[in-house]
Amino acid sequence: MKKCFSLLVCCLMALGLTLPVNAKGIIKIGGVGPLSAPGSFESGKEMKMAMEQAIDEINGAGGVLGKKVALVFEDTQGLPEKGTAAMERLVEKHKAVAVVGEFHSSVAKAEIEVANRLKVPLIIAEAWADVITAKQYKYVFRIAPANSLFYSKIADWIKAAGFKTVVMITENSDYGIGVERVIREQLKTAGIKITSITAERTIQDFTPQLLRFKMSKPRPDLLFGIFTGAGELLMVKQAHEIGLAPTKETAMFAVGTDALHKEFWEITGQSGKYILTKTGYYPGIKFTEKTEPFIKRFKKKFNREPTFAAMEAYEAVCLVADAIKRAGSTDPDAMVTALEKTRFTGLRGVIRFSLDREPKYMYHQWPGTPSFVIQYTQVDQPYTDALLLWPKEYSHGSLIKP
Amino acid sequence: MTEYLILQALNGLIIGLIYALMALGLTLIFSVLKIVNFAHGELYMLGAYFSYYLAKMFGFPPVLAVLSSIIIVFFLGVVIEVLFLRPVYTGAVERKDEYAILITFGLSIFLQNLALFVFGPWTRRSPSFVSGTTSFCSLSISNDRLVVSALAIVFMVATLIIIGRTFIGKGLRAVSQDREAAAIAGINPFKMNLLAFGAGSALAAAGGALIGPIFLIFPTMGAMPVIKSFVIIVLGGMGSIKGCIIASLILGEAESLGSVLFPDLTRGLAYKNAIGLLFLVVVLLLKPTGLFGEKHVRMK
Amino acid sequence: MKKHMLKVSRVTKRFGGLTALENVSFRVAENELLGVIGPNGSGKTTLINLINGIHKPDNGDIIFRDMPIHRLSSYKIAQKGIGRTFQVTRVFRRMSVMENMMVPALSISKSGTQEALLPKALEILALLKIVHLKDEYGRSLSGGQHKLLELGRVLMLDPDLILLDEPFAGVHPELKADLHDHIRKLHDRGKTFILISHDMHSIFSLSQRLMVLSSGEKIAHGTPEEIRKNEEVIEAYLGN
Repeated sequence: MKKCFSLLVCCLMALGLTLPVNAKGIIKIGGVGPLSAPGSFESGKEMKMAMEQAIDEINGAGGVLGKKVALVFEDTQGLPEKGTAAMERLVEKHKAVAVVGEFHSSVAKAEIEVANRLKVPLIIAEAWADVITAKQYKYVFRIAPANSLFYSKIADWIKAAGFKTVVMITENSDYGIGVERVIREQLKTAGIKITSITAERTIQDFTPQLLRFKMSKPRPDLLFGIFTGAGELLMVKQAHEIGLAPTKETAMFAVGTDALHKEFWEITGQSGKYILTKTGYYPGIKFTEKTEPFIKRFKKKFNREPTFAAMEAYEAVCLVADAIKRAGSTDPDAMVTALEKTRFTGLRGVIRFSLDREPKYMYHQWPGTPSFVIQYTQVDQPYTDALLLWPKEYSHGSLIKP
Repeated sequence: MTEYLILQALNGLIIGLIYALMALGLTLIFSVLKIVNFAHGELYMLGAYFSYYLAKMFGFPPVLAVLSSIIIVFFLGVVIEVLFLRPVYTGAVERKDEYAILITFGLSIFLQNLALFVFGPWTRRSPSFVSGTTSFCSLSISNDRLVVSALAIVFMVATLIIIGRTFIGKGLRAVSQDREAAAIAGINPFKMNLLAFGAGSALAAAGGALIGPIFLIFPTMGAMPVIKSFVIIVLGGMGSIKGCIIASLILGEAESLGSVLFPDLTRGLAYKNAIGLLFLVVVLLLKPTGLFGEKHVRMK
Repeated sequence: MKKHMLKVSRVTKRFGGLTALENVSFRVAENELLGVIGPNGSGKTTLINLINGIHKPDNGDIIFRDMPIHRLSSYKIAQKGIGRTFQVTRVFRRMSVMENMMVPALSISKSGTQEALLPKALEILALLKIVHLKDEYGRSLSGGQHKLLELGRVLMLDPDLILLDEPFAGVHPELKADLHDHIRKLHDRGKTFILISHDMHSIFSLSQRLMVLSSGEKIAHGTPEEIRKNEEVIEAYLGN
């Protein structure tokens, strides 16, 4: 009798454990991004934090279609095969109705294939390679800019600022090579002299090449570093140590998102002053009424300034919730239709997805992604206080030389 | 151009010295315990983090932070040896080689993820030993690099003196050459294992703690240097201390000069890591036991 | 009746299916010089390996000065005062002769310095007549010199019982005569020996008492004269 009873209790407990999973009361949204090496885990972590914040807020406002939403996040480690596996797990095991996120273009490239095959909406938050939207898959959307879209604006600044000799150091990843091509093609047509070098992502010592640039005649007037992670920070530090840039002769542009993190200053210190970088968000420009409150909540919760990667991750989750609301269901095709009609007031403007098929990368791409060139003018300056140089209509000043 | 090459050679020397510290630790562990420590890169990483936190949170002066970190990791190495590696020598496990590989490899993954969890994913940098740069002629080099190479030389010489001159050093060498014969001479091989693993870990930590202000500190920072160390100990001849130091300096120089003398200048950095491996392949083709290797060693 | 230094009682050692030693018992008195002979594979080296702890017996006890030692690690046995040499010498090849001599220092001197032990090492090297080689590397010595160095290293620990495994094998005749001298001299100074050798002339002339092993069993023991006459011993040797 006792045995029977305990068996019964066990069964009930097992049932109890599985119940919430089967319950119809939860809508699961998948998240993907790098949380461990070799991925850029610092950015992945930040994106995950922002997604969690979005989920909390949606649930706080009563959820979607009367149900709670939940985030299931998979670490994709910066490895395409992990991205494929993560997508499959999210959709098939966790029954995620849509997936958002990703930071690495190479991984996103693998993930869009799965989204297309399993017919699940995927909003790429922070992977920039043109090809991601250029494949024009029905289920793939992007709120991060496409490389060509964003960097042609940066290239416009380089041309407008009057640089004549530009040297580039590029990480040999999909992202790096993609950016390098856009910039190089744009500058070439403007008659700017370019020297371009590629390097392993794991490189720690750039001094040999930087020294060479320093000794070349004429000295380059812009060093353009297309690196992410530790490599970017080391390049900034070493360029300053050997007296190459930022100097009177040579300015330095570091494009990686790491230049926006507060840890940038711990590593670069004095070397970070006068560094140029890009951002998809700049405060003081009144994008929408949601911007300020988001930043306040993020800072309060995580004790750090969000970068635009965090904003994109946050927005991506909100976009999914919004699409479900308007579609009235989690049917993938209905969601895609709803997403295509999106007019969502995000953190940096009203988000919509283009249906243009030319240029190729424009399909399901948010064309309005803002891009800014900023320059640090003080050590330990938060990027939100940096000098805004570009676009011209918002500019607070022009390039400062040390 | 000459000045440039001189400075580049100097840079190669500095990198080579850091490699040497790490590879020396790996060699010490390999010679005495006859196992390859796959977790060596993580001990290097821990050395860097401990030194960073001691300096940042407890306000230790940089050099003291480095020394304290080395001591902490020494004891950490001792604990690892007792907990995980002792079974190899007490006969508690059957397939010793495989066990040693799996346990150190597992430890490497564990420590890396633990660091990611405890220290967080953001890159750190230890405070400078001496900030600023020193110029000579038209070129300049950061003071940190100069201090680091001086300290690296000090640590290396100290290690060589301990191994070469002291009774403990003789005990370590005796065990590395013939475990049983050393035991017959009254040397406790377990104690030597403990010391070797501790000292080997401490050397890795020294490398990491010194590199902290020059390169950066992050949970996976040991992954590349440990591969370099494997290349070095194979290049130098497994277990040879002289070979290990010379191979480190050669590798540092080959990478440094190789990447600037590479025919296609724009690809030099992209092939930097390949240069060392290419060098290894050539040496092994000509001398399969490495530069100073006596014979192939295998655990009995 | 002399006091017994080493008591080996009913010792058995098997390697897999092979029985290397079966139920072997014997005693060694203080300052005795015991010779052990027997055909190849009779278990002589196994016996020494058991005494100094390289192998552990499956059965039986080994008592050294009233202390059981058959479960101890070999380094502890070495520290208790049992030294040995190997059939195939095992000097540290990548160390100089002097460094070889100094290896045991770690276990004998708790607070001692190199200087304190140097005279002792030099004295032993002088005794063995290899003091001129003190800076040579182990690998550059001849086979006979290896034997001497190994003996010297053993003497650094100042053991009371010395186990010699084939000390005369492959040694030049002149050196062999020297080795005889050294063993006699050390014996006169009070050391106890267990000596294994195939060199019948040497072992019969050096040993006070002989023990004969065959196929892992003790088949005879007695003075050299008794052994010379023992039918079973002759049988064992001729039979093989």
